Amino acid sequence: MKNIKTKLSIATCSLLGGVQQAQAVDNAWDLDSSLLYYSEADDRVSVTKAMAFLTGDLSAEDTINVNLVLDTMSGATPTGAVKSQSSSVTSFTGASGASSTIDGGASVDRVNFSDTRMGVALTWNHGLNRTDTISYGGSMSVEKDYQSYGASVNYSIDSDDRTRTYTFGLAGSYDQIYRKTDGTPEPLSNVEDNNILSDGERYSYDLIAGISKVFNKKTVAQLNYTLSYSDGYHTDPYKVISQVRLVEDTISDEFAWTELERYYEARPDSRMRHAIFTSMAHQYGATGETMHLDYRLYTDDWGITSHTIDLRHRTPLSSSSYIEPHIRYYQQSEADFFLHSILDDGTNPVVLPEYASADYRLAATTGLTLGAEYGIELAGGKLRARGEYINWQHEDSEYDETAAIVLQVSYQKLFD
Amino acid sequence: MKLLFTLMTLLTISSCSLYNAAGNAFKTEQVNAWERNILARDDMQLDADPVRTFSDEHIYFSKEASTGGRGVGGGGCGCN
Amino acid sequence: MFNKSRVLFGLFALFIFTVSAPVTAQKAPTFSLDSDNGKISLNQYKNKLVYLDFWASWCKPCRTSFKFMNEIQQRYGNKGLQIIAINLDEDRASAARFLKSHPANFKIAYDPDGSTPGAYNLKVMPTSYLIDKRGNIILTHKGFKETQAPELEKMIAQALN
Repeated sequence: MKNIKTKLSIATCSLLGGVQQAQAVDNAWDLDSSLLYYSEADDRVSVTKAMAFLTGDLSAEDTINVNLVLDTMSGATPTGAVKSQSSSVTSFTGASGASSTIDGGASVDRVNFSDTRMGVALTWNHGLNRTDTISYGGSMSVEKDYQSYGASVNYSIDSDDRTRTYTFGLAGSYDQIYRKTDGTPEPLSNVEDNNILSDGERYSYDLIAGISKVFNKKTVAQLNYTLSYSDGYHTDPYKVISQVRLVEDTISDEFAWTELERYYEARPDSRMRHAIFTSMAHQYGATGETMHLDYRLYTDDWGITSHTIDLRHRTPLSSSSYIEPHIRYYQQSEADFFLHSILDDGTNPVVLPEYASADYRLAATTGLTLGAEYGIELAGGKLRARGEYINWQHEDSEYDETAAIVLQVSYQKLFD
Repeated sequence: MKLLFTLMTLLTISSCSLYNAAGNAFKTEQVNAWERNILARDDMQLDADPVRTFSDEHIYFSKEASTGGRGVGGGGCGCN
Repeated sequence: MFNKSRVLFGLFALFIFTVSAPVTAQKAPTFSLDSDNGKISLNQYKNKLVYLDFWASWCKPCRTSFKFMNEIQQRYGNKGLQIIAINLDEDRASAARFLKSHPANFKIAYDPDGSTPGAYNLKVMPTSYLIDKRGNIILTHKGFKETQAPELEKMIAQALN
């Protein structure tokens, strides 16, 4: 049996796939602890994350992973409403509680929030024989307005010469979504009616099939296909969309939006996604430089297609330290039901679409990440520190840019 | 659905040819069990840093509309 | 005189003998490799039970196997056991670094070109072979885990009797 460390994705609530690594434990426990700080420009979202990933052998055939995550999030987040100095909306309950506007006041295009999230994931890897391994995983994530529970099973088979690995996995998760103070708003209802319904529920199912191959002494690559289907509540219970009219200020001759109505957004009840992911690691050069190149093609039935390219290049500085620059390029098309706002030109009656969202995350977006990581062996463990700058440009969205920095420090150590 | 399938097939084929076009990197050679010194290195694992990957996946999942795709890998030292 | 039925019987007997013969004792391939003190070859230990191990600095289970090998060399060395551990690192420096943190009380040979493991049909790292005084491989142990140590030691002790 091969000892396998399986990585879990608590956030996406699906536990697909596991990552095979060179054996790192020999009756020793491996603990990787990390602290991450994420902060957006313009006083938007800030997140601090503390993580602990523990791996250990339970027997000759069994390895377990226990992953713990604690997040604290705060800041201001866009609601989806347009920025307007003249709004007819008189009452609106934002993310943090009551927040109202007086007749003819400014719209609520962003609201403050704060939340704490705790997540735990457990995986048990069992070697059936020298080539086959089965992994079972369970996870749970809880915050003030969201709960997620997931389970997964992965089966992997090595070829006899260990140059190829075939993997097949299935995962399922159950999510509960609601607002901190009450349930979920009636989709596309007027915010002033304050129609609150019960909590939202969603079931997700995922399937993954993958092959990895050792091409030669210096190259290894993988190719995966993932299919996901989710059914239930997909709407963001805090997000809204404005009904607007362009009005000319007779004095300044400038045009500005005036918000006439505000509705809660509505997203479809189901979502089918496909992703093809390929990745390779290659060593070259006399000094042992390595590069990692990833590409992902994603598409779903909400009309979103995206491309992601990720490149890392590691240069050893000494036998125990390295520097690794990183670049990531991302591009997504907008969701079919994405709208900047609902236009009301005053002549025709407004007909609301079946689904509508002004959430900038569903807009056509281009993202670029530039970062670097420094690693050094210290006190028998591995210390890494990295910084990244991310910039997203959103098309046709009231918030057309999101910029953030990421700082992370991690330390991995083996305990006998 | 048909378009998607065509797209996927095209991508798989083109990525394979892209792989081969990359030349040396993807030249298939026999690798014996005792020749895995480079493949055994931590930075030659398909997921070289699970904590970092997990963190990034969460950031991008929260801010973008795409999810997942990343999965299993082999390689490594092939020991035991 | 040439008797057809006798010939047939002879052929039949030959066939049965070949087919039902036990798995032929495999002769351990010879080698002559560098060590820290001159050359090491298998026939230098003709009157010993040889435990031949293939290892490398990048092979993590090798750390546990070294602990095991030190123990059994100490326990059975005077009973006729000799451990020879062939290093397969491409550069001597990596092997030296490993030996500094995991010293060995048994013989170390160096095969940076990797010609010996091929002859032994090595499929996984590490692998060890128990070779008797007649030069036959009597046991092949693939991989290494601490939990396998007691069973392996028992088989070595049995072979020494």
